[in-house]
Amino acid sequence: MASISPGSIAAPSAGLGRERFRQSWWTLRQSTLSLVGLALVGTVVLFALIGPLLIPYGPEDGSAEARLLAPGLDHPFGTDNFGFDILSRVAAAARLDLFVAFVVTGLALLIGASIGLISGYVGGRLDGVIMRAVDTILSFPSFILALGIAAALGNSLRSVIIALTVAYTPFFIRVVRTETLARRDQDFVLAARCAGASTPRVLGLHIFPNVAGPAMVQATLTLGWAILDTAALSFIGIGVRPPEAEWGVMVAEGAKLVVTGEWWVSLFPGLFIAITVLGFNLLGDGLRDILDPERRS
Amino acid sequence: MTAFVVRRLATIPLVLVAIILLGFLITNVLPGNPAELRAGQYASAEVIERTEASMGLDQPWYTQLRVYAGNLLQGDLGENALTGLSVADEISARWPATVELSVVGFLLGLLVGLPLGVLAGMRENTFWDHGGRLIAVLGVSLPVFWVGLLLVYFFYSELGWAPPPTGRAQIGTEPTEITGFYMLDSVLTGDMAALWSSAKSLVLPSITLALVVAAPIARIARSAVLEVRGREYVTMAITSGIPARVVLRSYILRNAMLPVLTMMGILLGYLIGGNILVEIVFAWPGLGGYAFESISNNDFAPVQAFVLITALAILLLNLVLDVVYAWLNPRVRYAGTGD
Repeated sequence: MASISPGSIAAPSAGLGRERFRQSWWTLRQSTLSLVGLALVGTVVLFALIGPLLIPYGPEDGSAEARLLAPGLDHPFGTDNFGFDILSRVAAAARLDLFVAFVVTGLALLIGASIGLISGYVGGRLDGVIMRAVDTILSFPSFILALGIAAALGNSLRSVIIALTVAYTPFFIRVVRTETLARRDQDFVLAARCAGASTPRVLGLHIFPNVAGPAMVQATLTLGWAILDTAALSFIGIGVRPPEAEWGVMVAEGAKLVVTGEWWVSLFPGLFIAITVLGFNLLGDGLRDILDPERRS
Repeated sequence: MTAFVVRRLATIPLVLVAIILLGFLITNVLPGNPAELRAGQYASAEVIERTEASMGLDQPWYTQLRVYAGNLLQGDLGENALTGLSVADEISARWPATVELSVVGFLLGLLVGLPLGVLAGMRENTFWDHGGRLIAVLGVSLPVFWVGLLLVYFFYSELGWAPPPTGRAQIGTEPTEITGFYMLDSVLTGDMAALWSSAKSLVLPSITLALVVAAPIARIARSAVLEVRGREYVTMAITSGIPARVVLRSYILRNAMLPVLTMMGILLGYLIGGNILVEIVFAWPGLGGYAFESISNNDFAPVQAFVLITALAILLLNLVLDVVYAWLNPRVRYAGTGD
């Protein structure tokens, strides 16, 4: 990611795509932990994409005789209280949870980066007001905020997506705004403006490429939080409801069975949450170390 | 110092207004008609209409907002639609359970996370460092509710060491309530059976909650120690022949604790967010469990009260933290409004 070094003028060009990819890959290889993270995330994404095609059961086919079977040859992860195959439900849930995480993170990135760019670039009173609002929201734990908003919007997947987007957007505003503030008076911005570039052009083509690194780190970590918070919200009973397959819902279904010894109903979906979130966290931490060598975590 | 406290207090009204608006939104947009819930399943349309009127739900939203804010200022948090009891009363009966669990969990997390982070920071890039970081990243990646369930499975269902996850004490052994804090009440009444029972019930929930905070504490402590350790005054102290223990205690730890304190607000967020999930898993009869029951019943007043109380608690705790921080660190006190 050559565009990260300060002062360099980003010149996006389609021909450079392959070169860029090669450089990103080289950079990523510098950190073992981020590679592990990438592998974990890759495995889960692959599982979500092709898992449902390979597994012979649907997430909602089951029979009463097949209730609560322990993991075995027919059902590697066992079956749940309705006789549904847990492996196939975990795979179906992977699709849903990853979908929510990517949509939420994408929206928060898009909205947060736009507001952050404008706030940092324009400065002055507008910046003051925006940052005061951001600090107010951030003083609140994002999970409780999302819980409050999702409860207010009603029980649906849509409210979970809106609630989490609202809860995560301030993080992006802050990251992008700080970086923009540090760049806006640099020579390359001045040069672009002297050459007659409009404000949207300066923001989009000259400043954003230079603040994209930290925003990407934030996005990677946010993907993990989104998985965790979506699952936690449905565990509480907000958002996705049984019998729909979602990791948090599945853990909740198994919660009553754990006491009587049927551990597999909760274990496997929870394990997938843990693996996915761990993957995103390792990847995010690794990316941060690479992009910001001074603040190695 | 006074000027600092006044300046800090001035930021509170804005946050309060935001919190009240959020609370109000929860009331008005939550699906399911609270009047229908109150009137009962078999109520006629006419009865529902009358209940609506008695609850003020037929008024325009601005009137409702005014009534809501007015009630709130008088400490009236509405009624639980299912039990018909005042939410304020129910909350005042339940908060000690939450505070007891949170305090024990937080202290336990501090006890584990702080040494782990300091050790990792002092021995950068050694086994201890890598191990500590691995534990920390696992700690922020594992879903709390799942970890709690695994602990229940292992220590209750398999080993039979822990009591069943059904609240603060086994039935029949609860202490006579004085303060509402079971451990304290058992000691005050000299009831050893109650003390044993409530301590046993507290072990697994507080360990689960401790995991939530220990990981971020370890991360913060590690990076704080790393930063301070590289400072010139530390090198100076070491080369002056000051014993390593003294350097660690007086030069490194004391300075590293300031950034840890700054992050305390975020830690409290983790604690409170984790608390509701832990309470659900262990059927802990605190505020989180209360919010959970109300969500399942589609009852808005308790959820709204939960969000409000949580927000208020965070607001006050952050205020206290900021004042303590300013008291410890004069640079903050004398700086301008800061950014």
